[in-house]
Order: sequence, then structure tokens, then C-alpha cells
Amino acid sequence: MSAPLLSVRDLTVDYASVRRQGRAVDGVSFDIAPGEAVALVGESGCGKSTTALALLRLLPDSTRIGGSIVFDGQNINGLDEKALRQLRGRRIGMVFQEPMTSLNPVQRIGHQIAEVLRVHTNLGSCARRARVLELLHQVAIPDPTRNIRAFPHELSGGQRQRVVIAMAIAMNPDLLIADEPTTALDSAIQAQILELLDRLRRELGMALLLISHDLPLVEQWSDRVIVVHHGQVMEELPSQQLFAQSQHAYTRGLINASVRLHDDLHYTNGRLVEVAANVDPSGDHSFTLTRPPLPASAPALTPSPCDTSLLSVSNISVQYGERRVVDDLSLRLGRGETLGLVGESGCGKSTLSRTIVGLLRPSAGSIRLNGQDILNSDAAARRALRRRVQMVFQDPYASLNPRHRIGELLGNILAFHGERDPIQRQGEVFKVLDQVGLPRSAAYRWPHEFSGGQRQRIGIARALILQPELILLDEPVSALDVSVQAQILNLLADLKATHGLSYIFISHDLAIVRYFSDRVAVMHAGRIVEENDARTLLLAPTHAQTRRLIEAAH
Amino acid sequence: MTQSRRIFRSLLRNFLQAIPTIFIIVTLGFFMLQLAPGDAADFMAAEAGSATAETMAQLRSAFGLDLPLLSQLGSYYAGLANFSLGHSLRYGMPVSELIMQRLPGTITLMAAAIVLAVSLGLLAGTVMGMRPGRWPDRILSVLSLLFYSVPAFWIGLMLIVFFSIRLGWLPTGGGYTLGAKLSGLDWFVDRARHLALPALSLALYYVAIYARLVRASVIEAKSQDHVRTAIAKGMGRYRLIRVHILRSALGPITAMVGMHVAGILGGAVVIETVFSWPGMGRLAYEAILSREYTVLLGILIVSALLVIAMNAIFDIVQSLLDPRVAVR
Repeated sequence: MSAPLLSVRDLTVDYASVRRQGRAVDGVSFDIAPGEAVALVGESGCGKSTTALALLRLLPDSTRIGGSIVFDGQNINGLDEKALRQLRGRRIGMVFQEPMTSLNPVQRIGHQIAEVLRVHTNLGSCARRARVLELLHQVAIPDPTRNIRAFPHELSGGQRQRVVIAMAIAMNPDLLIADEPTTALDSAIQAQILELLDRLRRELGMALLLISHDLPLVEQWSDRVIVVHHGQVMEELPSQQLFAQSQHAYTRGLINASVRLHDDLHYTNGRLVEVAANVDPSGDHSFTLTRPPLPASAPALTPSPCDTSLLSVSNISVQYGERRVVDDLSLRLGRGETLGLVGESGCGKSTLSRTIVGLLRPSAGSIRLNGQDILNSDAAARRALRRRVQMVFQDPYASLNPRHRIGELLGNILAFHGERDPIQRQGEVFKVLDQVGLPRSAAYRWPHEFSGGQRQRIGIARALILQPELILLDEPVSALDVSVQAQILNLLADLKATHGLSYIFISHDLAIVRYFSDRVAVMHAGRIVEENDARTLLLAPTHAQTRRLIEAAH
Repeated sequence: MTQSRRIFRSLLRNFLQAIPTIFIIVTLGFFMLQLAPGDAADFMAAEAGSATAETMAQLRSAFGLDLPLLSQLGSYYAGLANFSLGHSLRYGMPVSELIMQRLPGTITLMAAAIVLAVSLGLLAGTVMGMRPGRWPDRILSVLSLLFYSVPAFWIGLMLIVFFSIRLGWLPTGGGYTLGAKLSGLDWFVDRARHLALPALSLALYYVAIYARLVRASVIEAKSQDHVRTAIAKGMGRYRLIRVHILRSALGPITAMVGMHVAGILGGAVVIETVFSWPGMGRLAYEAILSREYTVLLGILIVSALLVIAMNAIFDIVQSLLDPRVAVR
């Protein structure tokens, strides 16, 4: 191997601000050769993003960085502001996670790209403009001469990420750091952006440091993978060997906890592996992998075919002003069935789910639950019906009122639905906390004291406490880490078996939908374009949209 | 371009909305002024030292003060419809002419105060926001709290005591040096010297507000992703502050300034009195004392129009600063 371009040794990062304290990176070492694509992979809070920011010294002033970061013979950890500015943007480019917020909203994108050239070169304004047009062309922004004058809000998420990439490669850097560059994007666009990064890396001979939580993604798009947990490197190995030959218990745990499209695992024939990290008294981490058993009663609850239809939605349309978001859509759900609903963002899946729980009113059509018309019943009947259809939201934090203790959050729902006795209410709250696997003491704590996975358990408890028949799960695990995702999916599968629940499971992740659903409906432009049992749909898709989704998932 | 068309549409809409506003202001103003005891004839009589009942009646009928209230209001509207604000008895000239004499003074004072308030506020707020908790932040915080809590007229008086009487640097009042025939730069310097203290005392309260607002915006902007992107591009500190941080802080400031215009105009009345600045505020004060309703109503209308016009302008400025805010 040639001399490394970047060589990180014993990197430590300590946060010391009001918001965050403690050691985030704990002795990380790795090398990147010129032109190589290396991935740092790990779950949220493992220190991978902190490492990326430390490389360019983009962390807050209160943060302390230890160890050495040698880039092309210079130790970045000892450079002054001025020397750092010579590296940033010129020799090392960076692409951030959130394309929605990483561009300045009040400046035209051409201006923002040109700014890099203005800082690092003395090109005149005509030459800068020519270079910006060339860059926009290179990152495949449509109609560069027009879009050079666009403001960020006039572009789609994928296009904005292309603009950020154009900014990062404007000076032909030697190293491009991409911090979760596609996490906020649709799966189809994810693939396009990663292809673009890969093509640019080859064309420009850049090295790439890809930060991600997504194991299949880094396997496909990097040469070498570094697995990080609690700020330490667990394992480093060539990407091709990631799934087949990884040795470390943590890596194996992540691999088994994640669901891949071609696995033949279904919730009816097996649970997902849960990985648990244990810290022994000496401070070392050890990992245990467990695959929870299926509940004994599971076979009895396989879905009966549509003879007992729980929900039937007929010909509904939903409009926001002039725009029709759900267009003459019909679907049926059998008792005890899980219907997976997939589609790109903006296809109307969230609007549909909001309409079913009664948050939105359709402009036409009818919704029947157990044969009873939901839309045309009086207020009292509607409230009674509402108990039976509940919803779990995507963002477990934003959907919990931060000023209420968990006990109040859950108890208030019962009070609203007519339970006057506080002792009775408390009993119900404890019962539901037991069911979702939270300690009873959780009732006395605030939402911000819980981790993402625990908050999602609270979200599930909130839906479950009214003993509904149908729960709509709107992307319930897409904000969660792989290992937590496995725990939540296992929990949902268990709850379904014990309570005889029916689910509508909305997700953009085909692999998870395939694992978790009995039947899958593909939504596109406000309509259901294809509907079949999960396995058949993926093996023999008939609609172009389905094929596109499957292709993007591979 | 569509942008300029939208700006034109917004101006037109603002203008049309101003008509009912002015109507309400005139009607309310007219009746509320009637609640004050006495009228212009009483004042003129008092000024003259004595008057017989006949002269008083004569004066009243000459000015139309003996007519029923509603017909007085009606004739005022009739005058307005012909773009006439009426005639001042005391000054013996049309009200519009009287106001036009004083209006430039008030507008100059207001504009100077706004410019001072925004620029000092931006400066202080940036210094505070870039390094919160350090001593410049602490000192400026205390100062801004001081200016925020002390009334403008008292600040004005103290400025006169300090700068004019103690140090003798600046004049104590007035709009220009009487009797001096100046031109060019000398004229400008003379006006600026007279303007400095009144504008400053009017501005300081708003400096305090804007400094705190800018401080909060800067602190928020610093943690925004796009600022981090800009640092990753290799931008220097000053360009970063100017282009990326202050630009996003300007939005909320403009919205606030737009809302404060009316307050600044109200404050100008007091300040003009303290500094004997020849503006509309002092005219209003004199008009109240002499019960000159036509003059007062005229001032009300012009002030209202001024505030409406400024608000329309600030709406447009805001949409130019932030493309996501569409001019409606």
C-alpha cells in the first residue's frame, strides 16, 4: 500500500459543553490511502460523525481533541485557523447529512458554489460562473444555466445534496468526507447519489470517507469498512467480507439484526436477532446475541383470508386545496392481517393513514370498520370507533409532549375516553408499560429522559392503551438504529400475536416490509398500483413503480 | 419579472387597505378631540388676554365651530375628498403646507434613529452573540438592559447635560444654527451635529431591543447546518459572519423595525419637544395646546400614512432579504 493520505492515530474527542458532555471518540485509529473509499459504520452516538467533524475541526470550541490526524504530512490537530482554512474546501471536501438545512436558504445556489472558488482562487466572476456551470453539469443538476439562479428551497432534496457535493468537489479535493449523505433521502434517490459519489471519486481520483449506519450500503459502496461502537473501533475489514467473514460479535449482531431483501425470514417463522451491549465493571464492552423464540400461540393467529374484513376503504379521495393527494383509492384489511404500504415520499401514504385514523376528512368515498361507516356516524359513535384505530408515528420524540410525564401522557388518553378513576388509570398505565417492555418507573419520568427506542416503545404504549383492533404504524422504525429496530419489530410482532392486532405498516424500506407484512400494497401518485402477498410481489413485480422500488433497495 | 409585479400588487393592496384605516382614524380622532374641554376660540381669546361674548361668537361662526358636530365632520370629509386638510387659524395657512414644513424634520429624525438603532444593534448583537458569556457580552448586556429600562426623554436630557453643557461638543437643541448661511459640506455637518443627540436618544431604546434580538439570532445561526457547511468550505471568520450569519439574522430585525415604526414616531414627539426639534411632533403638541383640531387631524392622517407606507416598504425589504418569504 502506498503512503496513506490520511492517518488517524488514537483520536479522542471529549465534549464539554452544556448540551453534551463526555467522551464521544475513544482512541480511534485508521488510514485512508489516496483514491480509496473507506466507510465508518456504526449506530447513532457511536462517534462516527464526531470523528468526521473532528477531521476538519468543525466541532464546537469547547470540544477537546486528542491524538493525531495526519493529512498529507500535516497534523490537522495542531494547525492554526489560517492553515485549517487552506485545507477546508480545498484539499478536503465535506458533504453533510441534511440537504434541507446544509445550504444557506437565502442565497442562490450558484453563489454558494462560487463562494468556494472565491475563497480559494482568484478567478474572476466570469471564470467562476463557468466553473460553477461545469460543476452543476458534473453533478447532473438539470438545466444548469437556469438552476444556477435557483434558491435551495426551489430544489428537491436529492438536487440539494448534489449542490452540496458540487461545493465539496469544486477544488478537486484529495479527500471527500460524506457524513450520512443519503440518510435523509428516498431510497431511489439514495442510490443515485451514491452512484454519483462513486463516479466522481473515480473521475477525480479522490479518497472517500463514507460515514453511515447502513451495512448493506457500505458493503456496496466502499472498499474497506471500519465498525465503530461507543467511540472505539470494533473491527476493520474489506467490504466484500463484511457479511460473510466478520468476526466481531458486535458486527455479527448488527448483521443479524438488519433485515435484507433476499433473506427468507418472515415474522411468522422467526424473530430478529437482538444485540445487547454489556459493560463489565472494568469498563470493557461485551456483546450477546439472542434470537427471541416465537410465542407458542403464533400459528393460531395467522391471518384469516378476507372473509372477516376489519377495515374496508372504498374509493376515497383526499385533497389539499386543488391538489389531490389520494386519488380514488380502495383497500381492504382482514382481521389479524398486516398490510405493508410502500411508496416514495410524496406518494400519499401518510395522508392515507391520517385519513384512516380520522385526522383528515376525505372529499369522497367511505371508510368502514367492522362494517360500520366511520365518516357518516355521529360524534359519540366516532369517538368509540376512534379507540379501535390507533397510530404510531415515525418520530418518537416529536410526537410526545415534552411537558408531560409518561404517566400523564398515557393516563390522559384514558381520561379523555371516559376512565374517571385515577387508580384504575394508573393500573392500566402500568399494565401497558409492562406490555411494551418498559419499567413501571417510566411513568414518573419525562420524554427527554428516554432513548429513541424507548420513546418508540412509549409511542406504542400510547396506541395500545385503548386496546385497539387496528394500529397504523407510520414508518415506526425508520428513525431507529438497526439493533433497536430489531427490538421494536420483535415487540410489534409479539403484541400482534398476544392481542390479535391488525397492522397497516407504512415504510419505504422494502426489506422490512417484506419481513413484517402478510400483504404488500405499492402506492404511487395517490393510488395503489399493485397489491399482493409480500413474497410474490417481490419475486414477480408487475408494475414499473414496484420494480423501481425493488431495484433501489438492492 | 414576476417579482416586480408582485411588489407592485403588494403596494396597491396596501394602498387600498389604507383607505378604510384613514377613515376610521379621522372619525375616531374627531370625536375624541371633542372630549377635550375648550376650543380654538377659547384659546385665541385667552391668548389675546380678553374677549367679549360677541367676539367669541363671531370667531366661532367664522371658523364654523358653532355648527353641529356632524356637519363639522361632514365638511372635513368634503375637504379631504378634495385633498385639502383644512386651514389653520392660529398659523394662518393651510394645514397641508404647515405639515409639509415640519414633515422633513420628523422623517429625518426617524430615519436617522432607525439607521442608528439597526446598525448599533447589529454591531452590539454580533459582538455579544459571537462569544456569549465573555466579558464584552456581559458589559453590553448590562448596557442594553439600562437603555431598555430608562425612558427616552431622560436619556435625552442626560445627553444634553453631558455632551452639550459639560463638554460643549454638540448643540442643545434646534434643527440648525440660526442665522448661519451654510452650504455644501458645512451645511451637512451643521445639520448632523444638531441631529446627533435627538436621534441617539430616540434610538437607544431600540438599540437595546435589536442588540438582544441579533444576539439570539447569531447564537442560533452559528449552530445552523449551513453555517457549518460554510466553515467546511474554508471561509474566513469575517466573511462568514457577514454573508452567512448576519444575513439570516437580518430577517427578524426587519420584521421588528417594521412594527416599531409607529413607536418611533410616537417617541419622536417627546424627543422633538426635549430638543426643540422643528418636526411634526412639536407641531402636534402645540396644536393640542391651542385646540386646533384641523391641524391635529391632519397630523394624525399624515402619521398614519407614514406608518402604513413604512410597513409596506419593510414588507418588501423582508421578501428581498429572504426569498422564502413571498410578498403577498
